[in-house]
Amino acid sequence: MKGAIVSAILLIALSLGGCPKGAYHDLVVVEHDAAATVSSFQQAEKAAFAAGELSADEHALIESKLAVIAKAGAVLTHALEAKADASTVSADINVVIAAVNDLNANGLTGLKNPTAKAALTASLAAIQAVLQNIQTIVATQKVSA
Amino acid sequence: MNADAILKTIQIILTLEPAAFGLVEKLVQGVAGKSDAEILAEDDATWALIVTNSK
Repeated sequence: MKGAIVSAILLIALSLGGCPKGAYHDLVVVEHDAAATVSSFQQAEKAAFAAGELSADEHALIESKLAVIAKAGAVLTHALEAKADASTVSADINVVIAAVNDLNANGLTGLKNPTAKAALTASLAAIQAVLQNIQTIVATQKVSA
Repeated sequence: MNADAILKTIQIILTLEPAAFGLVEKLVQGVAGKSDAEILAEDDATWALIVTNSK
């Protein structure tokens, strides 16, 4: 159910927010979605920790991995601001994706509380879906940012 | 997807997942009326805030 909800959310967001201004604009919008979804994930994580659903160690581990994702995201944002070439943008996206995958594999899989684990896994799925959109835009439209 | 279908789907999501609905609103409002440069500048701040909040 969570996956279906996440997919519906992304479809609606894209249909409501979409503006036909070209591939670069599409990439900027999806990059913005990535920043927003990572921020939402962090809020969900902090709420789960505040509710006692995560241990201090789990909280620290997830937040440390979020910092890595955010730093990689900032590099991607700067590349777009500098209108870097597609290969640079693509490489920067791959770094973000690797950091998100690391959060999934090494930050979420071992969570003890099933409620927190389910909520954060769903939130992470939204991030991964957005990143997939970025990859698709770069790959299919040969974006030259 | 027409407007009625979108609204109906949003109502369903609102029932099932209030937090997720908030995310949709955030995504849509986040880019409304802004230039690409403004969006990217905002995202710079968002990433920096995530790093700050992770400590």
